[in-house]
Order: sequence, then C-alpha cells, then structure tokens
Amino acid sequence: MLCDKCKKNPAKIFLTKIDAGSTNKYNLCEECAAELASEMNPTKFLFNLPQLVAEMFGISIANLGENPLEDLLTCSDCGYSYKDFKSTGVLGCSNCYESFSDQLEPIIKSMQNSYEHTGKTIKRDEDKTSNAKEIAKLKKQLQEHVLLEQYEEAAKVRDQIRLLEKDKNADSRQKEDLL
Amino acid sequence: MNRDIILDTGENWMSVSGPENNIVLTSRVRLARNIAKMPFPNWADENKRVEILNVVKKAFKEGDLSNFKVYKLDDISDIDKMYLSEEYLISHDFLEPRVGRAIALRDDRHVCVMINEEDHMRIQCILPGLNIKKCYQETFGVEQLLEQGMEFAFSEKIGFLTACPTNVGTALRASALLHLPAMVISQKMNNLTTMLMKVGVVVRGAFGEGTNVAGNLFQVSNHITLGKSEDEILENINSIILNIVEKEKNTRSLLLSESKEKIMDNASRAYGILTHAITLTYEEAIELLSMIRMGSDLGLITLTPDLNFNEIMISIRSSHIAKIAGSKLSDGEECSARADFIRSKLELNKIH
Repeated sequence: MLCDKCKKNPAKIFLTKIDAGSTNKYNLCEECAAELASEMNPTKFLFNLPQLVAEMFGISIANLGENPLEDLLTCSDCGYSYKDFKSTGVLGCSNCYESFSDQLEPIIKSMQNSYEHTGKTIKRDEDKTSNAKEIAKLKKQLQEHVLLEQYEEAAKVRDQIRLLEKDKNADSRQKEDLL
Repeated sequence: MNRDIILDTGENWMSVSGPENNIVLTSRVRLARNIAKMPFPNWADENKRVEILNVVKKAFKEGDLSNFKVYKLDDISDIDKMYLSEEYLISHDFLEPRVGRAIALRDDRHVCVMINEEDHMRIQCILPGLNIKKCYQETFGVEQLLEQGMEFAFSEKIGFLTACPTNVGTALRASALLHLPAMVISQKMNNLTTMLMKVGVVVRGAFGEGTNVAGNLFQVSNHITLGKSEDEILENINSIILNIVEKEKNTRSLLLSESKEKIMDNASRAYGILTHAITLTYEEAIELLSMIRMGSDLGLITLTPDLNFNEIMISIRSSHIAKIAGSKLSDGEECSARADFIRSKLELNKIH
C-alpha cells in the first residue's frame, strides 16, 4: 500500500480518526507523517512525534494501541528506544521516565493505580523540606514576639531565619549548577 | 578463581525461629536503588557496569558497612551461587554471569545487596518467621549508609526510579514464604489468590515467578510500589499475611474435625516413606514433609520438639544437598544424598 500523501513510498503508519459517527483512515509513509508533524510544530516534533501526530488527527494516544510512531522515540540522555522498552519491559536510564513520560504515565497508572510518590524521599530533599518547615515555624514565632513587643527575642529569631534562608539559597544555587 | 564463600552449612541460619514460624517460614524485603545519571545495568556497557560497581564498592568501604564482604559473581563457585539463590539472597536471573555483577553479603547472611542485577542495587534482607518490619529496617539502614556515597535516581513526582516501572516509587517489595497445606487440601487457594490480586497482593510458588507450587509453599508479596508510603505498604502486607495465617489455622481446625483420620494417615505414610526411602527427588520430599509437618502442627503425630521443619525444607534443595556432600552431584547421587539427609534428621526424631 502506498502513502496517501506522496503516493510513492510504502505506507507504514496507519491512523484511524474517529469523529462522532464517522471513521477516516490515513495511510502514511514515515517521511510524510514526520513532515506533517513538523509543519504543525517543529520544536515539539523532535521530542514527541507520536503525541503530535495523534493530536493532529484528534485522537487520544492511549486508544491507539499499536503505534508505530512510538517506536521511533528515543531517550535524549541514553539513546534507548521506546521500541526496546516494549520488548524488554525495562528502561535504559532514569531519564527515560522523562523522555517517554507521555507513554509511561498511562502504563504506570494502570499498573500502580497511582502516579504520585508519597513515600520516602532522598536526603537532599528531606533536608530541604525540613528546612522550609523550620523557617515557617520561626516566622510564626517572630510574629508572636513582635506582637508581644519582645524585640530582643524577635531579633534573635530573625537572625536564625536569615541563617536558614542563606542555607536554602546556597542549596538551590548548588542545584542550579548541577543543571 | 572460584571461591567457596559459604562455609558454615552445619548450622543453617534458618534454624533460628521467628514469630508465626509454624506457618511463615521466612520474611523478605527488597529495596531497589539506582545511581543518578547512570544507565540501568541492562543498557549499560561493560565499562559503565564496572563503573557502577566501583561506586557501590566505594560506598560500602566508606559507609560503616564493614560487616559486608563484596564478591564478584564470577569469583563465586557455581554451588555457592545456587545455594544463595535457594536461600533467596540472589535471584535466579542474577546467576547468569555478566561483567560488573557482584554481591555484598553481610557476615550473618541475612542481608545481601545484588549489584548490577536489573537495578544498580537491590538491597535485600531475609529473616525467619513473620518479621517484615525488621527486614525493612535492616534494608533501610543499609540504604541510608549507601546514600552517603552516591546520589540516587529520584523524581519528586514518582519517587525512586527503577529499570522496570513495576518497581517505581518506593521500590519496595515485601514478601513472605508461607506453608499452606490445609488451604490447598480444601481447594481454597484459587479463591484466595484471586481475592488478594484485587488488593494488590501477588501469590506465587515458592521459587517466584512461573514456578510450580511444591510442598504447599507460597510466596506472598505486594504488587503496588507507588502511591503508598513504605509504612502503608509494610502494614498492609503484614496484616494480609496475618489474615492468611488465620485462614490457614481455621481451615486446619475444620479439617481436624472433618477428616482427622485422613490427615493422620497421610502424615504417618509420609513419615514411613521418608524414613525408609533410598532416593528422593526434591518434589517428592517436599510434598511428604508438608504432610508430616501439618500432622505435627495439629498434634496428630508427635516428633521431638527440636525438629526444625523450616531448616529441613530449605536444606533439601539441590545446592544445599551438594554443599552438605561437599561436591557437585549427579541427579541420582543428589536423590540418594537427599534421602540420607532426611533419614538422619527424622530417625533422630521418632514418632513417640
């Protein structure tokens, strides 16, 4: 079967558009599908071809089942392909969760009944959150001292807050450096 | 060079007893962790896997983890590898040799970290009886020390990132090995398995995925790792196991009132065969031991109280038998060594 658009190359991508009541089938070669997609949004295209094509045709990707375009996706960090994930069931690196997030989110949701971690976090984050909690507590204290006109105490608390906030800023700067 | 790393086969650690030990043989907890910005072991090339191993080794050295020894998988003899897998300390998939694979084994063999299995690190603890929370504390303790030496792959949204999305989130799997003969005899296992599936708990044969159920031994574990906190997961699986134990006990009472003679007959016949057989396969031996064990638990036959079924049930597995014999055995040799071993255990513990 030849591509509906260029009528030259064999069609490899088959899409079905379902509107209320009517069904239209599109048979495209990879090049024409990619071209169509890039015309729509060239920057996004690089990151998520299948999603874009799906959007273009007004269909939900979750309903697509077998989607040959998905197989073209690769992780921007490690180069692992989504096609490999489908055959092995394991990912290439931790960044694959980002690279394939549109595909993985529905899979994980159906597997785990959730897409939100509520358990333990890594140390760095624990420090950060406990720091924020501490600052909030101190600010409340500061307010109370001011209301009660205990200015000496208030100054002490203010200094403590400044110290903690300095830590916090240093922390986020460090994080930015990493990025 | 292949080294023997298991030397103390005389006193198996299984011989220590734990809570609900009559029905719960062992509890196990596994935490998966990966190093940030490193490919997962299946996709990493040999150099990367060695690099991963070195990061973990360094963390072991620098953390206060001196009671662990790190062994490259290639350096461990085949029998010892099988032995560790029969004790659930390493997985079956991990037996396949690959550059960069290693284990960090704690001296008491209760805690083992697989390096470069499906994830960079799989921290596991196994304890006798129903002891899930203690198992978790042990693995978490190791995790905390390892974290000082590396940054873990972690996402604010979906937690600890693992090679397989089935483990993402807490990356925590808690399981127990249960002996459920009455539930099997009363044909209640299928119902139970279906019911547990609905609450996110998986029931499998003793050796995990795709293995046969032999000796009425079942592994029960949590399926969901995301969306619940560690404490919720542990609390949930613990109460479900207690519930299964209760069901097994009730079913045993029912069997006792309905078919006492039959159970006694089965147990006594099993004892007859096990004390007289010249060769025994694992499957036959484990089925018969299961029958004797239930008869003994119900007080229908009396064996001396120091007979440790948990220890025997683990010790009759292939590599344990080979380890006791001191060398690799042919199938025939293994079956007669197994029969010898069981006879020696049971003859010391005659029915009174």
